[in-house]
Amino acid sequence: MQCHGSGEVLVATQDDQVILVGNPNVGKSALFGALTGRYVTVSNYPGTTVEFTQGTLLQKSQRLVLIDTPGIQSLIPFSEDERATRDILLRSGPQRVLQVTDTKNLKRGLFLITQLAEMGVPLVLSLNMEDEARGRGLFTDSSKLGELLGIDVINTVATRHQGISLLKEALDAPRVPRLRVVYPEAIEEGIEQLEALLPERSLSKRSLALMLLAGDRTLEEWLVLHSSPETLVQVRAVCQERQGKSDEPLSYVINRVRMEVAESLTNQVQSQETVARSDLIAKFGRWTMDPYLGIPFFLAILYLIYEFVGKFGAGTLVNFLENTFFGGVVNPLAVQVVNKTVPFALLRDLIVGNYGLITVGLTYALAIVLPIVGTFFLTFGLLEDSGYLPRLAVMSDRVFRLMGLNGKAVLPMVLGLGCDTMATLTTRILESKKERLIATILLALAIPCSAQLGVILGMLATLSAGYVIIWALILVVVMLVVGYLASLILPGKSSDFLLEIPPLRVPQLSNILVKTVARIEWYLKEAVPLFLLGTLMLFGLDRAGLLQVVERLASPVISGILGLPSRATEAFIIGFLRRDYGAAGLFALSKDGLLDPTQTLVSLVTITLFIPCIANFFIIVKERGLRTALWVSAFIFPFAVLVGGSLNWALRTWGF
Amino acid sequence: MHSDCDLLCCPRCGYRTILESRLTRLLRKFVGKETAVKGQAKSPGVRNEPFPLREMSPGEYGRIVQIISDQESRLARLSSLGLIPGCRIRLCQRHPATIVEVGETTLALGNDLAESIFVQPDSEN
Repeated sequence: MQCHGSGEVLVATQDDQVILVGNPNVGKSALFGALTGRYVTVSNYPGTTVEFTQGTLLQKSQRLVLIDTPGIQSLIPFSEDERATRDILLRSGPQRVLQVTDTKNLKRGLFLITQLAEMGVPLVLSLNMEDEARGRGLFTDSSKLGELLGIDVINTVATRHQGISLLKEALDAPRVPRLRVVYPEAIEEGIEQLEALLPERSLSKRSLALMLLAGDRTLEEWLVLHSSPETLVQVRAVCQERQGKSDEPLSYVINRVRMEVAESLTNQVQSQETVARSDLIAKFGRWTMDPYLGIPFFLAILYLIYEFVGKFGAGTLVNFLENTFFGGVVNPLAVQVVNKTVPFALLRDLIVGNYGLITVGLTYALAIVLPIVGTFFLTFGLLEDSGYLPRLAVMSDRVFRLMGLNGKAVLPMVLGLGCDTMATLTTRILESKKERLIATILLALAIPCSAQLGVILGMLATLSAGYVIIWALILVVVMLVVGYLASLILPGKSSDFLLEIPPLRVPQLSNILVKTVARIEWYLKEAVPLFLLGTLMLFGLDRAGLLQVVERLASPVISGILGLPSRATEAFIIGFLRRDYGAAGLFALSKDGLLDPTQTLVSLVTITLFIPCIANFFIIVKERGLRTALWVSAFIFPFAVLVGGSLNWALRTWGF
Repeated sequence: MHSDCDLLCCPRCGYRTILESRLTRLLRKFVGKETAVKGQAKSPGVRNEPFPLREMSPGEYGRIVQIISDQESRLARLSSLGLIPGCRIRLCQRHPATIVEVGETTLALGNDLAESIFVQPDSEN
């Protein structure tokens, strides 16, 4: 995951730029990787390049800067991604475009090319995933297409690096496509009128006129910047007049005409042979979305995840790392070394004492959290690349509707089971502000991140399965209720559920590994410093005697409402820094026999619902603003205590 | 007259009246068609007038006749995915979401979206 500002292109370069443009899920990022040798998040879920990434391509004659963009359907923007990509093309400067199409969906790619042609951009067309198209009986005459359009058209299979060298050659001398779409007379007249008003820029006036006629409001800022407010008034007048004369939205008419041109072009170069579609994978793909078969599939996958992440990751790996590696080797060694070399007792304790940086901080970060998070990311990568996630979105759409979201929210929610911070970044794929806010709240509130999850499930399982069920049930109910209420209270609309379902594909192991490693790297850079910071804080508080003070201050809540021993306060303080660390603290308490079953359940429910960890908090500030972040936390903290307290009361009153 | 306001306003005297929405005008066209068809004799079981996408049987092929919505963004999004009048569409399933195939693209649509799409059966394979 890269963290650039969305829409900002951090390029201050003299080199020529090549901008990759194309529909979602056509393999742009895979092609980017093949051309630059640089890793970008590649996955089989439409809409996962949420930021722009850059890389360099060294050609014989020059250095080119490649810019990867999010997938778009059209350059008349109806989403943030589309607007950002369109804006990049609006900037003047030496640019060329590499348009990537999914060969079997050529029509949609050619729809885009009509717009790029109008913009007058020199481009090269890559017909990617050529193998899949052939597998479906679609044969494409790329040289004929190249002749018709006057550009280079290259067949590629990005994942197998086929066609890459031809592509690199073609990028040296791209040409502007020779394609002119003629619109109905009323629209052509509007174009003429607008062209007379528009300022001279390097981007074609015809293209700008069409965007304005299609009702693109975002272009207006640009217009005022480059001409004058009076021009804007005149432009608006023309557009309104033209729209008034038409029964249908002009954007719709324009799209239809373009699509018809794209279709006719496609028919000239592509032929379909009927192929026996006894594709097992396709059948599989349908079953996973089937209203009846889909559920057992999902449960089966859930079970496999439980085995891999839960038993293997949280069990075997953690045990090995914590006990054998850190407990048996690293920590004793560290203690020895420190005792010999470090003079001050204070410093010694800081490093290897009860709240020692190595004995506690590093151990927790690397021995407990890392294996769980690592196995989770591996599994998530598999789910992503296979194309299962959009199918999960279909299955869960109804459930998400109850919370004011739609099926697309499944991506951040599932990712949240790995790391809430990363998931909050992903809420960008939700289209309305309201939905993004609801998803952010639910993530911070009720979705436990994987390390926390591992510790919690480990603790609850030792008690009985019933406890696990109660804990899970409470989370689900909280999510539904809070989501539902939030959707009623918060202003704004929900968006339509419209999702492309890519074919199920056998994931490439190498790609998954690269992706997982990148995510683990990101996680380590986030987590380890905070673990160490948290340890430091606890150490400081303890030494200053402040810990006891805080415990006393918090005891009405901790002991009174929640019925927990005062030492649990530490876990909650640390829970703010790292949720998983807090859960681990409770784990330690329960191992020492200081928590009875009821207390275990109450403390775990409370800490799961507890305010977002500091990293998550900062991401919420970045994505939604400081005010929102503070409001969210202000809601979550008392709410978590309320639920925990009620649970405590209910369990004690009715016995369990 | 703004695209996001339903009122027609006279710039001189300020008189406002409700502008018949595009949706209503488009619907009129279809009601008109239906009236004409009802007068003709037609074989039972053959549907000549366009019907909503979700009334197709799963597995059936159809052709889009029109997409009707008062939300411009919906029309634009559907059309940029290739869903335009004249294109061939296949309904794969209706639950848990409406899943359709257009060309080699499989799409999941929420009910609101699906209800905007009107089709006629098309069985040539």
